[in-house]
Amino acid sequence: MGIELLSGVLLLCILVSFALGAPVGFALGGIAMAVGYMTWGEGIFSILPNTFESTLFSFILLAIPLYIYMGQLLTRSGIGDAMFNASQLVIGKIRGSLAISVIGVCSMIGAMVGIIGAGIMTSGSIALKPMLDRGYDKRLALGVIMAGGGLGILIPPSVPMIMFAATTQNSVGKMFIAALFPALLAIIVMVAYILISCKLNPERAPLGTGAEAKMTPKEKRRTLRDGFMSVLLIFAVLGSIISGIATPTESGAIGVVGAIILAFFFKRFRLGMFKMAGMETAMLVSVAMWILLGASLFSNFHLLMGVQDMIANFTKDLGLPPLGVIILMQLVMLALGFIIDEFIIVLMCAPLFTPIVVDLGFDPIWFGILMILNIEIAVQTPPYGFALFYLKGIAPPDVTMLDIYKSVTPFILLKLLVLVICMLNPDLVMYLPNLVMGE
Amino acid sequence: MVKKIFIFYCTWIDRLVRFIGRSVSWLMPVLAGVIAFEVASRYIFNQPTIWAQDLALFLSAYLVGLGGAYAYQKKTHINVDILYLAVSPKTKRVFDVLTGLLAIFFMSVLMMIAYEKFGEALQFNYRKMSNWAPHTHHFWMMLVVSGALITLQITSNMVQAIHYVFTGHELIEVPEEEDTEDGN
Repeated sequence: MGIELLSGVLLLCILVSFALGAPVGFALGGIAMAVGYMTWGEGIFSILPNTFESTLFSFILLAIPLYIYMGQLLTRSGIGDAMFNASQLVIGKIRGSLAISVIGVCSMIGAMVGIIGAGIMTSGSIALKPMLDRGYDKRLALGVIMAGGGLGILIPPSVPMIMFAATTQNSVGKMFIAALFPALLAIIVMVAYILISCKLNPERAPLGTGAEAKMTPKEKRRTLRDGFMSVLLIFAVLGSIISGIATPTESGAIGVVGAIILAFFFKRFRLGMFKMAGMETAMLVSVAMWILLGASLFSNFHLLMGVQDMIANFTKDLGLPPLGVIILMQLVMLALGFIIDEFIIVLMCAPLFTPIVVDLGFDPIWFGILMILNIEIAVQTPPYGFALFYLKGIAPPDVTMLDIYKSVTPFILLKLLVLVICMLNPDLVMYLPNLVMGE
Repeated sequence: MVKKIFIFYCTWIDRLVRFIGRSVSWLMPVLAGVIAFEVASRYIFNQPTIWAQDLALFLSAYLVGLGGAYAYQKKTHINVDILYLAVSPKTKRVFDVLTGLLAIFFMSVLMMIAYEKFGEALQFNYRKMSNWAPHTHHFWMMLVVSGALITLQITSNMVQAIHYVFTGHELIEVPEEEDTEDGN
């Protein structure tokens, strides 16, 4: 069987099994083994031990459970509320301040949770009610939660970034640093949008006398201190990677210890909470790693059959300029985002596309950042981006799907703008990492 | 009578998988502790360990492998549910059986290959390539057990799904409730 036909068969199998609702990791592994057995014979099974060993014995990937664990501990210890209250105390007098806080806090929470779906759920549970209570336009309220929660995968530590770096043999630390500028840019344009839109339509974001106005100075100090400690922990985790004190994996463990200390500090530490955080993490980690196992098995099989050459030849035959190839890849990922979630897009596209991009003379880290930006947009693009359904899940019952579509549209356009800026100016993305870690 | 056997089978598999899944979740704090200890011993005691990294990898492998079945039971394994959510409960069950078969095939290959590797590792005394050089045979055995647990859990789900397709009722009316206590 030629590689073109084989790829077609594999794609068909994936589509069918996904449509039937198969668990993604098991389906990918099962398809690779079954199709491999039929075309290649029993010999194909020999890729299994190597794949399992290299995935489960990868010290880089060990960062994933640790960051997820840190995120679980932090969100359960009330860090979200702490940051939210503190930020309200600081900027509460500005129109639209609540929405701005949400962008900031949700992106922090998203970063700690590391997964878009969980980021949106957690952010929504903290921030949606205060906004609706104060009479915010529900479209604005839902839009900022989606925008902030989605930003999470762009702000280190981010699970998809670790996956990208691990599957393409790049430095996780460098990837994290490269993400800082695009993340900052995205936050700035979104905050600017909120400020301008609230100025033009004051009824979208009523100024209210929030709870913070009635606080005693002592309570104010405590709120500020809690918020400050929360932000400090995130900087400590990032700082330990950038300064080279710890590897990303070790900084994950430092983050876990920090989160436990913080939970004690907030007087939220309970044995039940500790147990639930561990259990929830174990479950999320098992799922993420089984997907990784299945997807690695699938892509190792596909690579062994020579898909790399096929794609390289295909892009050569198209005769597109290098940037055209990048744009084409972006479109493919955007389309994938309609049906599958962020992990799988990274795991399937990173090993296929990155070598071609490097051949064209681009930096793999820059391409990885584009991929993350793209996925963030893809998963919330109407009508089928899967993050939309998470948002629908946490929204009040009177919110229709059309409301959701309208609420996310301005933020999607803003993120698209950031993506285009980063695509056309690789130096903006690569300046910081090259400065800190060398070319 | 047959129904009772089915119920017995499903309930006990669910309990076994839940027990193991919950037990391995306690490896998570241990895993974080081991790595944190490594960092501390490197900077504070100036004495890096040779075992921390390997031990952490084994802990996470056990957590992922043995926890897989429990995650399957709790239906947290990600699937793409655009079509799946739109079909009737019966069709859903038929889909579950079909995708379950694919997963069982994958697990059978895994168990077979991992068992071969286990034999090899015992026979030739394989060790991990590192300073500490721990044995690796238990890792392969753990994968065999994980594959078996996942297979058992899938068969339990399949029995329930097939029962529903034929009778239109749930086999186990109220699934055993778990303590959903939250820390907050």
